[in-house]
Amino acid sequence: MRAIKTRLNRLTGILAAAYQARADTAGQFSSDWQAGVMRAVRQIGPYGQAIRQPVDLVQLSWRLAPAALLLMIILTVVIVQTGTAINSQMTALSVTEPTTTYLAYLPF
Amino acid sequence: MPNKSDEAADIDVVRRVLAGDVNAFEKLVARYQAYVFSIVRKHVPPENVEAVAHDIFVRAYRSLPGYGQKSQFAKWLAGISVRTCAGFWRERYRRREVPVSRLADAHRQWLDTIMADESAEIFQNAGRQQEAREILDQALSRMDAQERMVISLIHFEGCSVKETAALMGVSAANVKIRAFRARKKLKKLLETQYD
Repeated sequence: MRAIKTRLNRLTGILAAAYQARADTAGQFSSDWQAGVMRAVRQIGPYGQAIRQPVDLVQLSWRLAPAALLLMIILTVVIVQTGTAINSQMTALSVTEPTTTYLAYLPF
Repeated sequence: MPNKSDEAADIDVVRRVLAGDVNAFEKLVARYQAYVFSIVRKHVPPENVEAVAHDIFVRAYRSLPGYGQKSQFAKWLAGISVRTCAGFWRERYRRREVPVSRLADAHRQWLDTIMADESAEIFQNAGRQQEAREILDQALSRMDAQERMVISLIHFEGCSVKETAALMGVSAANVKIRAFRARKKLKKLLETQYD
C-alpha cells in the first residue's frame, strides 16, 4: 500500500514537471497579434463615448425580474377576483364543439 | 511581475484609457503580453494560445472601469486570464470537443518503465517527455473546466487556496471542494495503472 502511494506521488510529480515543461515552451506570438488586439479594442470604442458593451442576457433577465414578479402578482389577483370558472367553461366548450364556438364570434 | 513604479505607470495608463485615450491601452498590451501568454500557455493547447490571449485583453479593456486600483494591475489581469481560460474549456466541453479516452498501450508501457526505474535522472527527464504531456492531458480531460483550473493552479503551479479563489473569482470553500473532487479523479485515473 505504501509502495503504491509512493509511486502515485512520484507520478504526480512527473505530471507536474510535464505541466511546467509545457509552460516553459517558448512559443512566440505572431507580430501582428498586438495590432489585432488594438483593432478589436478600437472597434469597441473609447471610454467617455457610449461604449458598445455586448448584451448580457443573464444580467438583462435579472433586470426584468421585478417586472415579471409584478405581472405575476397582477395576474394572480385578476384570476382570484374573476375566478377560473369562465375560462374552464370556454375551454370545455371549445373542446366539445370547436367549430361552432369560434364561428359564433365571427363578425360575418 | 511589475515593480512599484510600473504599478504607478499602470494606474496612470488606466486613467488615460478611461478618459477616452484608447491608444494608451496599447502600452498595457505591450507591457503585459508576455505575462498573459505565460499564463495562457499553461492552460490551453498551443494552437489556441493567441486567440485566448486576444480575448483576455479585449475582456480587460471592457472591464477596465471595474479595476479598483486597490490590487496590482498584473493580479487583476491574471484573474481575467484564468477565468478566460476556464471559459475556453467550458465552451470546449459544451461542444464536446474534449475526447475522454483511456490510456493507450504506449502510455501504459511508458508508465511501467518510469515507475520501475529508480534513477533520479530518468525521473527528472520524464516530465519533459511527450508521453507525460499526453497522460497529463488525458487526466485533465476527465475533469470539468473549473476542476481542471483548480488542480492546475493548486497542484501543478503551487498556488494557495486563497490565491486560487482570488484568481478564479470564487470562494475558498468552493475551491476546496473542487480541488478534492479533482484530486480524487486524478488519483483514480493513476490508480487504474496499478490495480
